[in-house]
Amino acid sequence: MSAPHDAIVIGGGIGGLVAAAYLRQTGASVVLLEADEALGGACRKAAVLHALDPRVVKELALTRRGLKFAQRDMALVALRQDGRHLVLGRDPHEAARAIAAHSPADAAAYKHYHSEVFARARAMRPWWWDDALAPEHVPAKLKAMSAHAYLAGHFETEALKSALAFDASQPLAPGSALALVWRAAQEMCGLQGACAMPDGGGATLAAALIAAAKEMGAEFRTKARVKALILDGNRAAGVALDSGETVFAPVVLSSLSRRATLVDLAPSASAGFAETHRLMRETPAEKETFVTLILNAAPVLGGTQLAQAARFVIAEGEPMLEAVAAESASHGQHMLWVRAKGAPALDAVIAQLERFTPLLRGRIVASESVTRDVARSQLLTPARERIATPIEGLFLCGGEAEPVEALSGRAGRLAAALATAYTARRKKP
Amino acid sequence: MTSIRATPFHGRAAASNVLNLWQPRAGWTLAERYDDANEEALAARLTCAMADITWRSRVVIEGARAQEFLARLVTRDPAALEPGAAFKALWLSDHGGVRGAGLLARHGRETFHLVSAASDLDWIARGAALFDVRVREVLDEEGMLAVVGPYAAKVLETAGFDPALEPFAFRKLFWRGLDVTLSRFGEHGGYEITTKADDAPLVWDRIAKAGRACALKPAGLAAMDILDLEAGVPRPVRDYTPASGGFDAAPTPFELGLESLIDESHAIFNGRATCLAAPRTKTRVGIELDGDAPMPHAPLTLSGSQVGRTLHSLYSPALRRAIALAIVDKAAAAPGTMLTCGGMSARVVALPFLSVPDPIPA
Repeated sequence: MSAPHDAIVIGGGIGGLVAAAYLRQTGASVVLLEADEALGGACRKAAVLHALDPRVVKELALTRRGLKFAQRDMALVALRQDGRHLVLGRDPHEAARAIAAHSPADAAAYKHYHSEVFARARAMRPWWWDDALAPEHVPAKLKAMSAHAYLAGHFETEALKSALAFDASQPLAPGSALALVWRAAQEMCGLQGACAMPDGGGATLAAALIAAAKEMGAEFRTKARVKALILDGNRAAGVALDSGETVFAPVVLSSLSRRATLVDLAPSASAGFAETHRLMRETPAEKETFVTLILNAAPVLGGTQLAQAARFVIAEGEPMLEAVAAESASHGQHMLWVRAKGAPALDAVIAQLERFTPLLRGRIVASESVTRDVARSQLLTPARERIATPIEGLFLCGGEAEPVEALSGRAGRLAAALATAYTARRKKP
Repeated sequence: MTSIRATPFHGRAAASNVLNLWQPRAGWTLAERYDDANEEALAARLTCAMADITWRSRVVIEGARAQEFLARLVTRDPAALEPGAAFKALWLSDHGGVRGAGLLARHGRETFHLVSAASDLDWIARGAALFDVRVREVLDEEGMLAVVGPYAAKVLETAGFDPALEPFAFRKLFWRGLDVTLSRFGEHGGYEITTKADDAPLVWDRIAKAGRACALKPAGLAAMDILDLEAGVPRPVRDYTPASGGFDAAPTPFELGLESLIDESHAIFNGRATCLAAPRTKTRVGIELDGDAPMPHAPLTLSGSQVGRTLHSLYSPALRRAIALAIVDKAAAAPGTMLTCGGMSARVVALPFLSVPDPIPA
């Protein structure tokens, strides 16, 4: 048994690291338990960021700690087999010109779509970020509509619809239209709805977050898989590790899913009988696969006439994927980061990429492929409900605490604030 | 499909049921009254009555983690129960709505029985599945006979029992060649004999014979309902609609006046947080109506504004007036408050309407 801490954070992904850093800022002693050998989680695999909370960047001084951006506003390039690639950048007029090659009607509709989504995004922002009340002007229609149907209402070209639908994680699911609005509500590098690439990919962000939490004094323990939550009545009291060791703290923040936390780790039925059964009935989450390729020559996606500092989306055929290229830090090597939907084999991903960058296979020096579960979107769940649990002192700070799973740090920041408020309440006589 | 089954006492009940009046309850067919319901209810107060209560839901919960499961399920801690003891408790939905009320009896280290007026087997079984605990409902294999009234102990003694038993205790006995369980679970100061189905007619005959000197009568459902109401006990379905969804927040234990069945220091029962945080503006009271006409589920008003409503209402032969259970605002709950119900005056009284009559020493 180790000395009691003020808080335990389960999982060393962005949510856990941000939560640990913020808890340290309030003076709490924090121990972060990571099952893996390395910290950083999904952060280390991703190439682009589209939702990093600017407050987290500022308050944790991430820029000072090494977070630099190689690209601040990457255009979306939808690659098409017929060569009529769609380049959708920040300027809606320029994008409209690219769309006009497919359909003049869609080109006109794009400007309207763009301003509508951005306006809705501004209205919805406090709901997702600041624990605010539901905005009354979210049309009921939008709450139930799928992204696919929403886009079909605006556009006729399949190329454009599928390119834009890629960013809604499940474009056919009811309510996923709001995911497009959510996406536009994000702010990267001061730009609404932008996509940015850190210098060195997500690993740079992971390193900056680890540095922030470490410098603030959070304790890290890797290869420490949590086996069970320890409760005192209905209150969090600590965790038991796979090694048999126990760690005690009155506050536990979990980056795992709600189901994994409440059904697999907590004592039987401690979430409530009905809630436990509801969680057990949930359909398995979607998967996504991160593929990292190290190449000995720069890949040219979609031909030399396209600017290569862009986010390439292949929404035609299977698997659907997003690819970003960058020069590697080591001389003469190039990186290609791919995020594919589902759990395709490495070969399938490479085959899909080779349709637009021939002879890719021969240039691969090293490759890595990791498949992970994507948390279910909860765009209509208030922030507090995503983070709080039926167990006192237990909070979620991972992907499932976000409206849409993303490398944002917001859930960690808010979970730390709720945990601090809980501690203050508990200490009051 | 609703199946109506006969209880193990049915043959004997049919022989006594001179009016041939039957009523279905919880899937069983039972005598509504054998002769006159008011006479039967008075017998239970003044002399002695026996009643077939096999219709009560009896769920057996057993397994290594049965106690752990029940600590989550019910509003009191079963760790406090010794084998051979029982307590009354509630079980709540996730958001604190009352799903059921009953009596939890510990038969062994890993075996418990939950006796209640309305079955909630689905909920209990789904919860038990999370703990690998076995759950089954006792149906045709057992009968349950209640013996109530001031002479109940005397009748049992005449029949060959030792009636010295604390309330909420039970004992397994070998009684003149029969395996039975004698318990004191009821609200009416009586006893219950649980018997194997095959022995049920014999138990009926022996009690009827032993009770002859005390003018023991069989009491039907109608008489037992009168006793229940006089004891002020709210019954699911009859008085309130229990929470049926897993996340229902109503009815709360406080508005039903069942807070005495909640141990607030028991930290882990299902629905605890929401239940304890719910507003406590209403409570359960008794209403004595002016006249003989029952007023079930009627609004209660105080100087023109509604302050509550009645639940079940009946004519009480012992009080010689109609009475009702009611849920009223706390401001109008003081005994003696005069309310209006359906144009007639209604007086708030403390519960129970009538306390259990003192037993006549055996």
